[in-house]
Amino acid sequence: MPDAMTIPSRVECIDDVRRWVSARAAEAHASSEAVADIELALTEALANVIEHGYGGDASQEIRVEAEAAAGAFRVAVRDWGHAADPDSFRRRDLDDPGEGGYGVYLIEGLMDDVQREPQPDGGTLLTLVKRLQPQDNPGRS
Amino acid sequence: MVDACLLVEGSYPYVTGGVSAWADGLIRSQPDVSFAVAHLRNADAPAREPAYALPANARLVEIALDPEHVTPGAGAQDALPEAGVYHAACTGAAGELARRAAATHGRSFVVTEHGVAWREAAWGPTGCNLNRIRRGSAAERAARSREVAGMARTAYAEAAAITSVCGPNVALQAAAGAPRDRLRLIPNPVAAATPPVTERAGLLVGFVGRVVAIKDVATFVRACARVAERRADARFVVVGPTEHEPDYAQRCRELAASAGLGDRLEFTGTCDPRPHYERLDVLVLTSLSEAQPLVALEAMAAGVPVVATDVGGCREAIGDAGLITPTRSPRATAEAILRIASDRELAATLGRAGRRRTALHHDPARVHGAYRELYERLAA
Repeated sequence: MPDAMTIPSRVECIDDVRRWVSARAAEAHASSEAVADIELALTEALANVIEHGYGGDASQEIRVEAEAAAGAFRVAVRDWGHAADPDSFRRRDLDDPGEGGYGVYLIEGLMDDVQREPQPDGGTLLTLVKRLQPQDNPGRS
Repeated sequence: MVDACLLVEGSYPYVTGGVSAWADGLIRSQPDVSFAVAHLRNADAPAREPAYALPANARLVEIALDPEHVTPGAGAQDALPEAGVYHAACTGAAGELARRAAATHGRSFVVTEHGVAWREAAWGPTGCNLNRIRRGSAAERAARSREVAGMARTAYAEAAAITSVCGPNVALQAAAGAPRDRLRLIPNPVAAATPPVTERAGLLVGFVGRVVAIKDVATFVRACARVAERRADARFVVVGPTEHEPDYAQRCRELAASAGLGDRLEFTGTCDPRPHYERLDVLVLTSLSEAQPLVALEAMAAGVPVVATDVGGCREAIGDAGLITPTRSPRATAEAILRIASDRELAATLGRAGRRRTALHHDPARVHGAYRELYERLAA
């Protein structure tokens, strides 16, 4: 079972979950570089949920799960963000903040696999996967 | 040898905007401090005419970077003079060269982030000043974004001080690994301004800023259309350059035309925004990303109520001087405008709060004094 932590949708809370995930990654013998990559991707992902998924609404929640399994460290970020005002989607080309906006390049550059899944009851499940290299996990042969 | 070397990317003194205004104010506020302004640009970037006349206590050093590489080449810092302190206006290439020059000369460096550079780089074409990220395939862009983030982490680890203009960005810097004991919040400065004329006919709603996608001007235009339906006396103005993303600006004009706004919405193009504040009833900011937006502070200093999206440091800066809206919501933006426009007492209260807040938190003498103290401490 993955460990889980729920935080309010406030930027000031990102550092708490970042530290919590880092500790889980270190326990899984992720290298310091891998931990730093996970930290930055997670920070970016959480900031995007807060700013864009929730539109800055600080009263919402974000649930973060972390687990090491099958040679990889997985972080799942679940939000219940609302869709934007439908008016704003009339012309998609006007609303694109740039190819691959919302930090997709950075997160994908830092992680080995990134999955975004819209959830049936609203919001998104974002899964970030970092492979643990053999030298990251000296406990394994 | 200069007292301070200020490193900026693609902004001062060539482009108007928040970082340029900050840099200009920082230099002019300390006429007894000699500055070198290192302007970093891509070697293939077109030449620009300066937007600012450099103050007498500053000289310009141009550094052209290879656009094919995110990390500046070895020796790129050699063009920088010896300085008492190096001050980078962002991480990325500026922070990296400040770090190298400080190491070469046995000095300290400080990083001031307005936006958080490693996040802005991640926005791809619209975010990165030098646009080195936008080259190549998606995988190459991802690698470039990662490289920008790596330079930020190195700068955070080695800078003697890391400052930001707003609390949320301090939190993001900490979450990205910046040592908390070296983090400091120094807000943007803004001078007191003439209050708006209180008695006049009609309603004038303004957006001030570059007409680019990250400012989401389209949402402002759509909100204007909603306000126009309810207020026959309403007029609208977009004050800012339209040449940065000309295709986007053209689509915003088309959107305004299709929404029937006609000559009720004016795009001024590049101009000094300050005279406009005296005419505005509401200043609207629909950005998808901001740090501590200077235009909101300028409007507040002039006593103009603000409607702004809940991004970056907007909520913190605006406080009780305006209304906060979700991003990408023409409906919420229009409702906020109409609420202020229909309640003169509320508008007056918000305007007074803006003037009070800017005098309290953004007094230029106090803000510039904080940087001066930092320089003196680090150069000692």
